[in-house]
Amino acid sequence: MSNSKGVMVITEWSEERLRDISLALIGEGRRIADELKQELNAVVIGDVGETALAPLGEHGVDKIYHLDNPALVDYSAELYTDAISSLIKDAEPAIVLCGSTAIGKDLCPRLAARLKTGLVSGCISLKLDEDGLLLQTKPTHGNKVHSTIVCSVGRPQIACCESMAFRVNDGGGYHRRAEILRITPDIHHERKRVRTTGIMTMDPMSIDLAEAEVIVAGGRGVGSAENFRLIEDLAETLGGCVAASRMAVDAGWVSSDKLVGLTGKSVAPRLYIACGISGALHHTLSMKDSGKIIAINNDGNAPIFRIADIGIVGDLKEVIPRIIEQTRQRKDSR
Amino acid sequence: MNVTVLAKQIPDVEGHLEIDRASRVVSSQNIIVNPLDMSALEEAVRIREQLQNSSATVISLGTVKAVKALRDCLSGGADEAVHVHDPAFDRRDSHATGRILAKAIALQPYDIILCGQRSADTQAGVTGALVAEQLGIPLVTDVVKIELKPDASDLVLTRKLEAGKREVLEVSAPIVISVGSGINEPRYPSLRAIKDAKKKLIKTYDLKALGYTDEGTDIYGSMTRVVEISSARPALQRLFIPDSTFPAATRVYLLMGGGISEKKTKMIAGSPEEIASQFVDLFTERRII
Repeated sequence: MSNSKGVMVITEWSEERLRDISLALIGEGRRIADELKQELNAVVIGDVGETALAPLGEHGVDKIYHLDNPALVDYSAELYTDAISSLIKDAEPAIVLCGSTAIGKDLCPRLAARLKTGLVSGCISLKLDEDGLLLQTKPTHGNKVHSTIVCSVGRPQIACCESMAFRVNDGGGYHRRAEILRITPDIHHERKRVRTTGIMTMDPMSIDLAEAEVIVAGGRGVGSAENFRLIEDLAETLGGCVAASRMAVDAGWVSSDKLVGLTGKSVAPRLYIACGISGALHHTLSMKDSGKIIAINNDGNAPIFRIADIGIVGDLKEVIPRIIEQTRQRKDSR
Repeated sequence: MNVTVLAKQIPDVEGHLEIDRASRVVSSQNIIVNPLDMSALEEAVRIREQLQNSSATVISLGTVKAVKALRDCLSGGADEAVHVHDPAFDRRDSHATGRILAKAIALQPYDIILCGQRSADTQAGVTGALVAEQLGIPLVTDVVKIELKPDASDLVLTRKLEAGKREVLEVSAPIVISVGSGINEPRYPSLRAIKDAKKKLIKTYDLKALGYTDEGTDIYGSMTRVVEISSARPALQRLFIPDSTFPAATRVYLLMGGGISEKKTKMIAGSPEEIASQFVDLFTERRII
């Protein structure tokens, strides 16, 4: 594929809304495409309406390839690999970006294998070298090393990118209309050789903290086992998991498998709400990589406020019940 | 039922690592089998224990050092071991090794092929896909539970999705399954198993045995190249003194951790109602609710 040009972003949608990582990669893709003086294209798969697609132009997308076929509404490894690799062979992008989501992590290796090209997975940063080759940096060796890798031989260069490393910037303002190309790929249903029989949602109380997207954690400031119910209720309201600092576990308010800390688990959820936790290093070292950290503590000098994105100095016994109530009201009003 | 396990020998990433920026090599005194591959082996042995007429074969691509990895796997319950070894295969990336392994797998009967979802060193996660594509068989990734259906021709697999969700699938052999963390705890080998392992024969396949000729080296050539490596640990910005009530080992850990950078915190004030309202706005904006 020596004529490969342009950046292609494989987008993911959740209920007609573009997922954050896809939007972030469109921003990143536009930056890279501008440097290469090439086009930025987006791949949209499944049931997404025109009104949802229109704004992509404002974020700098030149063309949208809409793979529209009822068979592709839900993710199927084989059918998606067939359809997208076929599109890539026709469109010949130089670079393909995809989020490191459940789908992305499954799909990208298959695309790389099918297209006989190189994939770098878990990318945390992207740059171009002076020849326009993509420099892809990712953690390796138990996340202790950062390795920068190039796809020297194959095209496209495929980068599967970590959600936490790429943020949506203000972006927009491109004032262009993305050209929408509707493609109805040939579907060979017999290619689907595995059968999904069900999707289960694990009880948030039972899933591993390492998998949680939202964590509500309580510390000594919670005060009592009874007050700890507030932490549990808030977690439940947000569909998140309960965690605790050493103090709360030692006090017997919560089981030790919920411990976040040096002798417990390390977590990095999208949202970490630390309630009544002072922020001693043995706790914060184990959650500092969380996407957004909110801290509620009645001591304004607590060290937790140094690493929190949002801080509230106040009584959690006053604040949390109201958060729970207002959240429920907002959810019910939909 | 022939179960084939792919095992990779790696430096122990949990311990101290030597990071050589000039040669771009990361090494350790301690060499181990990739933990997720040991889990894959454990699954293979469990399947072997459940079914009559089945065997578990482990294959590893590597230098002569890989022989130790294969002995560890034999101690862990594998019946046979295959060492894929040729100087031409050294220092190849995962894309190359995946294709080479596929050829090695195809030299004996296979039904279920198991591997770890990713190796703890390169963290690439492409091997399963390359093997499946090369052999033209299906692949299921990040599997945390494998169950055999009563008639043993089919399997029920549970795999990880996002946010604590699980997908349940029915598949039939031949199939490649890459196993994710949390699937099992590999057994400790008994002394007897270790002794028996020493006596088992390890087959070796080189370039010729796999059917490669000198031409067309791009078939097993690397796709990617590491151009730079560096330590992920942040450099110490200022003197940081850990709390002296911690034990010495913890204080050293904290010192090595380099401290934490401080960020600009947005403080919210107001009545509890007002604060709660801002929370709900944030949750909505971040699509938590």
